[in-house]
Amino acid sequence: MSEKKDYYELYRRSTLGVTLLDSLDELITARRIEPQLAMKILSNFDKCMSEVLADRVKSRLSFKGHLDTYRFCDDVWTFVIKDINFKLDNQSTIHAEKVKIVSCNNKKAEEK
Amino acid sequence: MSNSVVGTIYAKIIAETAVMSQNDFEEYGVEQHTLQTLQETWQKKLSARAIAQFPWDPAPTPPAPIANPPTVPSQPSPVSAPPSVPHSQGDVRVKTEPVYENGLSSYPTNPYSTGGNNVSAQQRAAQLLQQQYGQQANASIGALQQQNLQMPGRAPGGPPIHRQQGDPASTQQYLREQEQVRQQQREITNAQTDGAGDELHAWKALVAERRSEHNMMRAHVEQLAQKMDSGLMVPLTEHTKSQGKKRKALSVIAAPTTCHTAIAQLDGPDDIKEEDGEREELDEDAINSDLDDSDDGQNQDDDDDEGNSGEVMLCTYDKVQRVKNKWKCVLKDGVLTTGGKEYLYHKAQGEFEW
Repeated sequence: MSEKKDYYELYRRSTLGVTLLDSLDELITARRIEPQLAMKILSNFDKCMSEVLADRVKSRLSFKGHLDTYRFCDDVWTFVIKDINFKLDNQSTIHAEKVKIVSCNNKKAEEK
Repeated sequence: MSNSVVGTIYAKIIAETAVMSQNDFEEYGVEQHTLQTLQETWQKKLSARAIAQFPWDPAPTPPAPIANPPTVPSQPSPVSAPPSVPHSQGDVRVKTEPVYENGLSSYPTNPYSTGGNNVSAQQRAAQLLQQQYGQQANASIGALQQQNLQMPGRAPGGPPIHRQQGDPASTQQYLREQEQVRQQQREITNAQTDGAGDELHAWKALVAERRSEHNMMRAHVEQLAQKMDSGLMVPLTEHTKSQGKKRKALSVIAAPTTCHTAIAQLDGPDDIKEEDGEREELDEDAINSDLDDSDDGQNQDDDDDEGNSGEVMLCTYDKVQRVKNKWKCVLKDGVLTTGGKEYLYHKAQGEFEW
């Protein structure tokens, strides 16, 4: 029970999380599963997403830009960065006008 | 960081989530087929977003399981052939197994699967009965299989789990099944099978909140407002995005007032819009403090626009440092969505000045 609380729900906002939510909602609307079960699946997803990201992804990235807005609240950093350039592993770059970064504390995730 | 790994990583996450959810599905008495459907819908929706190339995209493998649901019309009557009950169970399993395994074969190292998981809870319960009571159990097994057959064809409006209430045999079956699931998991969680109660409401709220980040808030607020008879939500429905924009122009003239949600409707709809903007950003902490609202109107503009563009990076941070206006941060385990594509990284370093 407590195990499930220990993973951030942050990634539910990613495309992967949102599409899962949509799929679950379809099943609930069709009365094929119950909301409680959907909640459980979401928390399973939190765990899997956090673990797979931590264990399986090796790539790195660096970026530079102009910080437009920053906020630190409840251990969550939020940055809005404008004119941002990402440099990938393979030396290619990506430019974006504006990106919002939402970042939770990495430490807390490990402490549990 | 790369876009090419996104497909395989996401496939892994989907498979792992599915594996982990198997026990939950059993606990709630929902067929594995539904889990398969969920997985397929999930993958389809992901493909529709075209954020990366997914392993399942080009391969025509997924349609096969769909065409083969575990409905067995030609199931032999268990009563007429008592000694061959294990065989008829075998038939059921042959039907369900490909569905089950196709979806999970992409994830070879499966820490959660036990041998018994290939057989549904009902089948295991039936086997257990057969072992313990032999011929006497045939009637119960028959009832169990009957129930198994009925499940796919149940009425969509009905409760998710149709159990033959009042039939002592099937009730006994159910208890045994539950007991087994518990033994396997060593975790006692009562499957609530009496239909959706408050949870449905909570779920709707959750969905609405999450979707707000993808510009579907309005439709859901309307839906919510219809459900909630309190007048609290009513003004929201009358406000479109464009009115939200007008507010910003207005707020130049009239200084933005800070106000609590509970009384927001008294002094106009604008603050509610502001609250939404805040929730979009801080939905996890949900501290919609007055300070945040009054800080700067421009801030809200950013958040609104942010939701539209969908250019977001979700990650955890190791370190965030600032010297004067120079910021440096070390971020980990991130998902970046930009330019319609998604990227993953293990570690990122950022430098930016304010």
